[in-house]
Formats: sequence, C-alpha cells, structure tokens
Amino acid sequence: MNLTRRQTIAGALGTAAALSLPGRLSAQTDQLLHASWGGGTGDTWTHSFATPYQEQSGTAVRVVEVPNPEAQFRAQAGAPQYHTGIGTFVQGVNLMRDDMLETFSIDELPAMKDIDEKYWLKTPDGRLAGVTPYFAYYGIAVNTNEASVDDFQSWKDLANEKWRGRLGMTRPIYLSTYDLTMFSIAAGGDEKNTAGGMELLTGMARNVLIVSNSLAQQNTMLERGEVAAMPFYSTRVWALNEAGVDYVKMVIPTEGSLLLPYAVFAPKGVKDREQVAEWLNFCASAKPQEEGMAYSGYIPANSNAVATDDIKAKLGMDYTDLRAKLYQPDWGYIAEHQKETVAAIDQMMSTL
Amino acid sequence: MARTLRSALLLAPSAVLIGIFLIGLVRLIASSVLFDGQIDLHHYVDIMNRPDYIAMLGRTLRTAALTTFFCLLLGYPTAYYVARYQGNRNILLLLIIFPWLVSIVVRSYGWVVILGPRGLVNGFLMWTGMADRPLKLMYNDFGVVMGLVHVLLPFMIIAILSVLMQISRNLEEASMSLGGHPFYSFRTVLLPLSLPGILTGVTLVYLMSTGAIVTPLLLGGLGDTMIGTEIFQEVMHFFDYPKAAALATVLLVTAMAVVLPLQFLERWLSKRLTDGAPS
Repeated sequence: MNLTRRQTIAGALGTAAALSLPGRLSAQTDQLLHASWGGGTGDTWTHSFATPYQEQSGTAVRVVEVPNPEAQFRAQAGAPQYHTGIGTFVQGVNLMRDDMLETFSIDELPAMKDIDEKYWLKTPDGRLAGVTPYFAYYGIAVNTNEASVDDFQSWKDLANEKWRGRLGMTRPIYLSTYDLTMFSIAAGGDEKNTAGGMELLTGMARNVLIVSNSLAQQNTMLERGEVAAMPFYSTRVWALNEAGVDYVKMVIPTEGSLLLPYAVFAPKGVKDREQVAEWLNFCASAKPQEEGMAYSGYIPANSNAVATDDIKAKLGMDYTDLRAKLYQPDWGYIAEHQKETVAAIDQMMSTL
Repeated sequence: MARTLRSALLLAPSAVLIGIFLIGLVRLIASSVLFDGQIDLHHYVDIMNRPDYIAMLGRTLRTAALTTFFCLLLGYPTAYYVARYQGNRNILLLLIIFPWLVSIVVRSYGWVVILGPRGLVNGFLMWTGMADRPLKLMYNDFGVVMGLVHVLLPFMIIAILSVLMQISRNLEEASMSLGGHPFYSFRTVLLPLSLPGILTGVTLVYLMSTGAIVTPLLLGGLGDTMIGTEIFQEVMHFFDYPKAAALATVLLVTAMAVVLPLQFLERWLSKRLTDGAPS
C-alpha cells in the first residue's frame, strides 16, 4: 500500500493526537486515596462520602485508615502518597502554616460558598487550604447510672471535689485545645485569657481517675461506668446512643460547648489536582454531609443541609439552635500557642 | 588470604548492622544539637530547666528499677524451676513465651478487666461490702510497674534460664553433700555462677522499661508520664523531632550510666568464672 504525503501527515498527526490523549488520561488516576482516622470516622468516610462520590463521578475514593493523617502528610512532604486527608481544624492550621497544603480558589470549590466563612481554612491571601465537611462539639458526657445530667450544667461542676476519683480526662495535647478553652470561657476568659480556665482544669485534674488515650478507651470508661462523666465528643456519645447505650447522655453546659470543625485537605503538590478539587467540592456539599449526620452524628457545615425530624429529635433541636449554643474560638491562636499550653498543662499536672 | 576473606565476609553482616546502628545514633544526637550548621544546646537547656521533665526522668528510672527488681524476684525462681524440671521442659518454655503471642495493648488492657474500677477485684470488694467505692488499683505507679513486669518478665526468665541450664546440678549436690544447707549452696554456688544471666536479664529489662511507651500510656495515671511517652508525644503530635531526639539522648545517657557498669561487671564475672579462678 502506498501512502501519499497528505495521508502520511494526517496519519502522523492522528497518531500524535491518539498518543497525547491517553497521555492526558493516564495522568488522571482512577482512584483517589483519602487518609482518615480509623473506626467510626473511617466508616463514615467510606459510607457517606467515598461511596456516593464514586456513584456520582465514577472516580473511586479509597479511604485508608491511619492513626494520624497529619503525621502521614508531614512524613510524605514533597512526595505525597495521599490525595486528601482529614484532620482537626488545628491540624489543618498547623499544616497550612508550614506550607504543606495545596490551596484552591473559591471558584474551584464553589460548594464552600454555602459554608459559613468562619469555618474556612483560609490562607492570608484568601485561598482555601481545605474544606470543612462537618463539625462535632465538645461537651460533657455523663453516665446517668452514676450521676445526673443536672450535676454537670456548668463546666465548673467538673472541678467540684465531690467528684474526686469519678471523672475521666483526655491527654494534655487535647486538654490544651478543647478543655482549657471551655474552662476559660466558664471562668470568664477565653482562649487568649486562660488563667481562670487553668484553675478549673487543675480542679478537674484533681478529680480524675483515668487519663485516657483513645476514643475506644473513653467509650469503654463511660459505658462501663468506670467514670461518672468526662468532657467528650458529641459524635462518640451519638455512636454510643445508636449502639443502644442510652444511659450515656451528652450535656451542653450553660456556658456552651466547643464547636469542633474538621477539615479535609490535600498535600502540597498533590497529583491529579483537578480531580482532587472535584472531590473536595463534593465533601463541602450538603448531600454527603447530611448522609454523614444520619450515619454518625457529624453535624453538617453546609448551611443548605437539612435536619430530618428524626435527627432533630435526637439532637433535641435543629442545626441553627445547636450552632447558637456552640463556641467557635480562634483556632489560629490556639494552634499557634498549643505547644506552650501543653507544656503549662504538663507542669500543672506534675504538681498534683 | 582465603581465611582472611572468609573472616571478613563473616563479619560483614555484623559490621553493617553495627554501622547502621551507629549512624542512627550519631544522627539522633546530631539532630538534637545541630541547627543550620551551628551547635545549639537549647533543647537540652529547656529540658534541664523544666522541673516536670526532671521529675519525669526520675520517675522513668525509678519505674525501670522497680520493674527490674520485681522481674528478678519473680523470674529467678521461675527460671530455676524450669531449669530443674524433670518433665517436658518445652511446655513450660511455651507457657513463658506464650504472652508474646498476644499484642502488648491487649495484654495491658487485660489488667483493666482485672483491676479497673469495674474490674473483677473491685467488683468482688464492693459485692462483699469490703469497699463502698472502687479502689484505685491501677492508673498509678503501681499499675505501670505491674504492667511492665507482666510484659517483660519472660525476658528475665529466659536470660537467667539460659545460664542455669549450663550449670551442672552436680555442683549443687556436691555442695550439699559437703554439708552445705540448700540456701548456703544456692548463695555460694548457684547464685555466683548464674550472675551473668542475672546481669543480662537485668540489663534487658531495665533498658526496655526505660523506653516503655504503651504500658505507661494505658495503665499510668495523671502524673505517671515517662520519658518514652513524652518522646512519643513530641514525635506523633508536635512533630518536633529535634526535641524528641534530645529527650531520647538524655534517656540514653542516663540509662547507659546504669547499664554500662552492669555490662563491665558481667564481662568480668564471665571471665572470672570461665577462667576458674580464684579457688
């Protein structure tokens, strides 16, 4: 077969185009890797976010359970293996400050427009370093076989010495960001003025029987009645209640509870950036967040998310009323001073 | 020539292993003092200026010493019993190492079931009316030492057992046939001969206790933080590797202050025993 010059050129162009197209496609992955804590969080991400996203977009998201997604991001800085990961807002702030996160414009993540700007993980130049899929809150969990919810209507009640040896507490790393903040509010201060809060925290520490290390241990302590009460996450109490442990109740004290936003972020230099942006935008949208709420009690950050009657009944209120009872501190300030706060708590505890 | 080559090849794996260990050690120390090419000891100064760190270091060494003592107290009789056992010794050895087949986390949590506020012991005490509220049997120093003894006892037993197995029973029998009381025979014959095993076991248990993380985390109380758990926090939560390296170096130096003399003692004793002198 003889080819004319035109046929040869057309063939060459066609071949080049064909080769370049798969080249573009092969740069796109058919699977995104999302780093998540294990247990209930991992299950929530698989059930409420990854599976619906795959059904909607055709792109699979594999949820990889790790002890600490932030540690993975830091260990793999410069050569990221995960496309995205979840962390606390403080972890997001710390990673962002260390320039370890990929940033996006609001046009790339339009669903974020439906999320209150105070929950945005935002760089000083206004770019988004992640999305906020949901939040939990930090209140006081009470085992009602051991104490009454009326016993813990204020954060100050945890420092009452009548609870000596009857309370549980988390480690200083979390005490510094969560407990101390709310104790400070109860003492008339805030996250920037913690002297009074530290006194109350010292009072609670004196009452503590167990310093716990894991959510599983905290669940067990509350469920078995090893402790009467402890500051705890709303989502864990929700999970206990769903599992039939209805005698553990969550109390929002009169001073309010701490709002705990979470963030999903991508490591700097992430591969498949466009697909990652689509996935992040999905995480910021209302539908999967509603799924997450029904599945595990994480409260949607997207203001378009609607609470069903069942959820309203379980929460005892709708999302708007709930948000009004929650305190949103300056997480940037908390993150910036976390290390010295932990040191202060360590030193306080060593004197007890 | 061939013999030299063979010796070199045989030594190569050990040399590589020791080399990697030394490089790691040098890098660990360097990362705690070298910043932008300058030597800076501020992490060490910070550690020494923190009273809670000094207390933590003391607690770590005290806990390690107590753990080693109780492991020796329980481990020696056990090793002796196994060494002198006339039946199938392998079954006993299997029982000793059996705990190693279970995760350290599970082993530590096992104590919660027994000694926790709603555990078996407290349940019994409250059921019988001997206590009106749960006693604090764990989440304190006692809990940490108990958990570490449970975890590390097999190391002590096996270290001592390996030496006891080499000691002929005839020596004890000869001592007793010459009128020696069993305790006298033990003190003057068996104990000196088994000292190398004791020192090996003590060194192993002491070193592992000083670096323990999981057990103090699970069974320790409010003020029972050990250096190992603090290093864990610096690495896993703050990602402050230089500070973690400084804490690790401090721990290494203080542990070596105890372990190195033990090593010299062990060598001296071994040499003395193998030389057969003095009579």
